[in-house]
Amino acid sequence: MRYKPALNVASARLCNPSAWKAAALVACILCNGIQMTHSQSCDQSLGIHFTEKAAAYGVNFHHRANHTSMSYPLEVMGSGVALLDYDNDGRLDIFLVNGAAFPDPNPSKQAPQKSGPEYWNRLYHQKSDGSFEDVTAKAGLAGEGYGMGVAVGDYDNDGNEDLFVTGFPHNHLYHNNGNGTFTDVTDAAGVAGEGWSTSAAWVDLDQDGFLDLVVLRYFKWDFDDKDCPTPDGVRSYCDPKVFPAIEPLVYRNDKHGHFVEVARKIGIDKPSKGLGIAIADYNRDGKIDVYVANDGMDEFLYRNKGNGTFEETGVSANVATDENGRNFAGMGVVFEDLNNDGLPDIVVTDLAQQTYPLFLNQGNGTFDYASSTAGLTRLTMSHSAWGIQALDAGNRGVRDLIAAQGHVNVDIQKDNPQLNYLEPPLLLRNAGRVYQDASACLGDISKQPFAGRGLATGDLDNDGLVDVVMTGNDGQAYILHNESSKARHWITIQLVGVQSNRDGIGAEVRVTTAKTKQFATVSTSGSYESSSDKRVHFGLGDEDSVKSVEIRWPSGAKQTIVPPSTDRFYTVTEGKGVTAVSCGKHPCATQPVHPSA
Amino acid sequence: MFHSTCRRSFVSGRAQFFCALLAIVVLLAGSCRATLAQAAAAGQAKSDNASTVSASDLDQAKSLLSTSHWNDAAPLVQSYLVQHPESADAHALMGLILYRQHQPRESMKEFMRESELADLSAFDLRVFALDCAAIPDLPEAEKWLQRSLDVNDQDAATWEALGHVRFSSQHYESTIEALNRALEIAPRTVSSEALIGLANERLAHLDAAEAAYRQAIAWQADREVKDSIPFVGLGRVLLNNNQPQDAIPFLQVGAKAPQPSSEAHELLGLAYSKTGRNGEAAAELEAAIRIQPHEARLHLMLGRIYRTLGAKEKADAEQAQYAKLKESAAP
Repeated sequence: MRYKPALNVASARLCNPSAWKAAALVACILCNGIQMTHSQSCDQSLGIHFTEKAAAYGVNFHHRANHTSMSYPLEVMGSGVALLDYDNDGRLDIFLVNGAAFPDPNPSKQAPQKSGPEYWNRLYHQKSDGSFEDVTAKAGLAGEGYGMGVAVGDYDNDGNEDLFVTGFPHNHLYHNNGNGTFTDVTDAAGVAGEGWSTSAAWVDLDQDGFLDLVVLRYFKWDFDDKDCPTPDGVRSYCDPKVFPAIEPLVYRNDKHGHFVEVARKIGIDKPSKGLGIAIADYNRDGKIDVYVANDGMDEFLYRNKGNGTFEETGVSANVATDENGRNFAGMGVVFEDLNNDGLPDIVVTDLAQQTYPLFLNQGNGTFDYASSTAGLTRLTMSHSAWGIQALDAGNRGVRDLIAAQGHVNVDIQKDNPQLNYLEPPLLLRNAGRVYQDASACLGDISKQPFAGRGLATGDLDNDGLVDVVMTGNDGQAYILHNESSKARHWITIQLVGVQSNRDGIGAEVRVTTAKTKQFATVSTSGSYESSSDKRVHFGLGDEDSVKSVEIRWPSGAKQTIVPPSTDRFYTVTEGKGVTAVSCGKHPCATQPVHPSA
Repeated sequence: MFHSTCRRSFVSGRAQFFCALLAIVVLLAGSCRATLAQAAAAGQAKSDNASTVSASDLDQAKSLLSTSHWNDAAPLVQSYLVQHPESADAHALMGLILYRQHQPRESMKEFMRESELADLSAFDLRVFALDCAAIPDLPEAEKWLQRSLDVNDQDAATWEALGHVRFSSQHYESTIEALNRALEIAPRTVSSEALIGLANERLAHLDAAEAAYRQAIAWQADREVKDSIPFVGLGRVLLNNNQPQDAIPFLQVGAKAPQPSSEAHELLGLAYSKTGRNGEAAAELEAAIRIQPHEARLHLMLGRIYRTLGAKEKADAEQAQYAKLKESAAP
């Protein structure tokens, strides 16, 4: 058989500029190796088990991304979830962010509109029986514009959690009125911003007792018609390199319901492609620092200089890139002590073939890239993830990791048949020096791929086991009820600041038992576009007593309590000591004693 | 975050891409030489109208091609074509020369011209396909390689080329299939086995990758000059498996190759740094930078090692160089 090349076909393809994309694709052919390890069954001896219960709980949220033929980047990035007790009834409620409608195509750059209830953000109130009811309309939280992320914080210290919702083209601040309703105070507060915002963090940057607000923006974009075809010439999503980076927005709380933008003034102002944000005091100087997960550029670590300003130290702290100096697609972030050495570590989610970077704090202002030593290279190289949180799934006294997974590119399987747009979530069990894939212990959802995005953690039913809520882009939300063994002990601490911000955000809590010391920073930020329960939870394993709980408040005050019992929820008020004790869902086995400070 | 696969350092990626293409060229050099006589014989039959003198020139050109003297052969073939524009054989030779001279578009035109005069041989179809790959138009490259194999499916080099093209298309499972076909025809081919290792790395099959690299290394145990690719690949896999100590001897072979890649030095430096041999790590990163001085991330890596060594000024200088190169590379 003989063939003659067809000149017209070949020459036509020669001129196809998209062919150069193939060259870029080839760029990775010598990159580091990967390993996908998915355990097929849950090792029952681990004592970890979750069950997906969104429908059973009455949460039937469906995120509307409004995917278009134009492949606008906005469509694939949302959205977030928050766990908060908005009505102070002692039970966590769920807030879910939603997209909005806009024309396809949208050459006139019409702002996205929540044109119908299907695009509303949703607030689900948890009833006393553990089921949820949609109270969005009553609460006044349907929202405006294309929602992305959410951050929870009591910015006016009135005892009611407020909501900041990021999105495009503006952000919204909802003040909690304390009666089940919220008021949009965006304009009065001066926090609308502009452009495309993603994750945000409430944190008292100037230690004045009121929460300030850091808002990340992704890049400069406004329905720009960028055609970024696949090698096959099909219109697809653009690499973020196509768009310019943009400064974050940093709002200082003036204590009177108004905020002043101070990014440049305080030095949190490097142009970035920010998707994830988390806070912790990494250098142990008593000042809260800020980590920013950027997409495809250096990651940022803003060191608090203690004089109200910050210095970006990502490169010198070894957290700007992976160990080969390569940038990665930073999305979600955890900034917590993952190895119980009393130092906050960092783990970031990114895209397949990059590995989820783990940076272990060395205690000298620098971090050690530890993905390969911790086994994460093998476990995560073929995965893409967004939301991520550290949680002690089985109350063993060590923190595991859970991530909402899925690739960003809807068409990824056309380009990379071995990669998946939809992925099941990943549970990484902390086995000491290494992590193990325990995803099968998530139950049926471990076999159910979806376009995971937001992820938040909190003990929804106050049973002493931390639950997980995840969102899916253009899909449903998932509630992973933690049904792990209750044989192990735990303690949960809720702080009430007095000199400090009322949420106690930025406080450090150190729990000491006969065998271990654990440490956590109070925060609602972290993960991706999401906001987790502000209470700090510590698994205690088989230890049924706690020697001490030391608290370092954002005000600088230090406080120590000796809780008489484990398996309790303790509320600690700054300067007063334990002001409430609860056994949560179940009756206390013995009457709790209220200890003094 | 879009197009994750495009997100690596473009400078590095570009260098790697050309390395990959170079690998294809190197791969085919032997086989091209081997089949050149066959191609020439076919060309002789086609060149009935050539004059005696010109035919001699063409024979000389073929002789030069057989010893990889592409540039010397080119004017002879060009001259021949002036007098014999209808010589399919000469167009085929010119296509091959232009491919070797990294002028794929011009090469393709010659094959197009040849195709108007005669049927393309399996060899010519393969070179045409590689022109497509060089452009790069990978789907077209695969198509023409398949057609070459339709003509002759017993050509290991074509199967291996197909493996390369599929690898570049990120179709790693089918890459391995093609390479296994190549190995059936030409067993113990180190380059094919090494690429199987690389494809398995990309599939996250690290154990299979390690096995393939070890096999490729074993096949060249008694060779004086060794292909360094499987050594570097095995070192990389062992590093990712958190076995830096085990990786060092293999990476040392890679770094001592006649023309080592910067990656070999980089990974060896990384392995040294992970095992506390920071002085040697610095030396390897310095070597990597000598090969790729404008690769920003290498300066960052070297700066980290200098800092570990307490060489603050040198660390700061490398960090500054990293920032400078990043800034200059920014869009």
